[in-house]
Amino acid sequence: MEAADHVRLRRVMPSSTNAETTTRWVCESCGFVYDPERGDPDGGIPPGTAFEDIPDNWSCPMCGARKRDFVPAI
Amino acid sequence: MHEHIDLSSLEFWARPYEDRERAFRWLRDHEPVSWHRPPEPLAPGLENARGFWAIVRYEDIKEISRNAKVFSSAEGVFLDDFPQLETILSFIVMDDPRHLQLRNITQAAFSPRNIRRMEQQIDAMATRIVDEVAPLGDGDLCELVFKQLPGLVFAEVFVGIKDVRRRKVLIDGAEQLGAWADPTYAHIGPPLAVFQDAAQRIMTIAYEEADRCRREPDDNLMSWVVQAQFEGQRMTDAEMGAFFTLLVGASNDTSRHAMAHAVLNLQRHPDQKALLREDFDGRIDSAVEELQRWSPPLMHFRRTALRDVELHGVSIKAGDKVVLWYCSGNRDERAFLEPDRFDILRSPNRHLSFGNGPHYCLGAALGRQMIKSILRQFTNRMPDLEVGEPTMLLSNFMNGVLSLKGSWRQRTTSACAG
Repeated sequence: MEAADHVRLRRVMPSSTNAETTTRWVCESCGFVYDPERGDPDGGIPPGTAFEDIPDNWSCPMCGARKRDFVPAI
Repeated sequence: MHEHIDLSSLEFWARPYEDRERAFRWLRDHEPVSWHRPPEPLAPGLENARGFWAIVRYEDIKEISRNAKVFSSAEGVFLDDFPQLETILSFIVMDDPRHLQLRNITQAAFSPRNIRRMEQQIDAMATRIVDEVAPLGDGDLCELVFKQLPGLVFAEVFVGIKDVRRRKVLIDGAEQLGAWADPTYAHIGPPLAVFQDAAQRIMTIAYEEADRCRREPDDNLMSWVVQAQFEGQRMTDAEMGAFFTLLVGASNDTSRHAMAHAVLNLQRHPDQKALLREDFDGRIDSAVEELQRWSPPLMHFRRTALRDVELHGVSIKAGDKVVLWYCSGNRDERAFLEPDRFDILRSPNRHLSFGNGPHYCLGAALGRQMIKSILRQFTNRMPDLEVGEPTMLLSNFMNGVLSLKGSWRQRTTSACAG
């Protein structure tokens, strides 16, 4: 696949806020994208919560994978 | 070249799974993106006009699944051209933003967290079913067990249908929906008429139950769906009917086949079955993942390229069908260590049987739970269960078990049920 067409998810670059707050994280197991802007209200994570601030016992709302199964979106 | 491998022929899909896997391995190694002629129609009257690209490597399947902006679901999700069928497939055949809106209305009900809360309820239903089956001593497990549990869970828990006859209409409708090309239903008409007949009966119940739930809201999915909003959006009645039909079909059909494969594969690997029995609670989670990897109930979903893309030196044009072969990705040597070894302790096990990305299977947690509940029953109450060879559905989509006859020592009590 050509670089321009490469289908990997792109990193959301931080603008004026810090990188931790705006970086999206992807579940390696199912592809769910954690977006700090949305948070995970059903899982007790309010909108605006950086991934790093989520408790370690939180799990993916789509497939149930653990927090450590997430990687930063690239 | 791959001419000796014809994914479009029905003959290919009539072969045993492991034979087909050898062909997929060849494609993974030599032609990770290969072009195939229009598939032979599954039944007279069904025509396929277009060929397709076969995507067979794990990473390619994952990445295409995650990129809905380039690879759309809105043009259809099957290898075959079934526009009539796809009208009732709800948000499976949509792209964002409507896909996300509709999915998010229902996501919480199917989330792993919510399904965990339902674990005891689903265990109790599995117990009820095995209470009736254990005294029989033999029979077709597809009919007696695997078809019953998803139907019961869906009708009782998700819709709140108490009436046994209405529940039976749903279960039978789900079966007809999945086996629409099967000659058993030829008396209704040609295959598409069989499908539409089942969909119509299910939708009639959907509208009636939606009315009931609007008048008397209860703690079930239907009551949730008729009231829920996401970002100010509700489901229309037509969307609700399609969603309901999708759930009936998807939750009943795939789950029953997954349960049948689970029992069959454990019997075919007695060492792994023994390993599970040694520590059921400690090993069942990883066992369920390996069972899913080994025999995915759905073998493909399709996307359509929205613009020209190049992959492994092959030029995929806008409008081309791109078919993601999960059954192949699950055995990809590039993604799994010793992929042809069935290992219930495999970890990590990020198989593709529930898809990946925005269309990841909504019912994955529920499916996993039903397999766990039924295997717990069989392990505790029918440990001597032996099954024969299955009768398989001829399909390039559903890895379906039509019949799985078994025998076991008759038992009459559920006192030992765990």
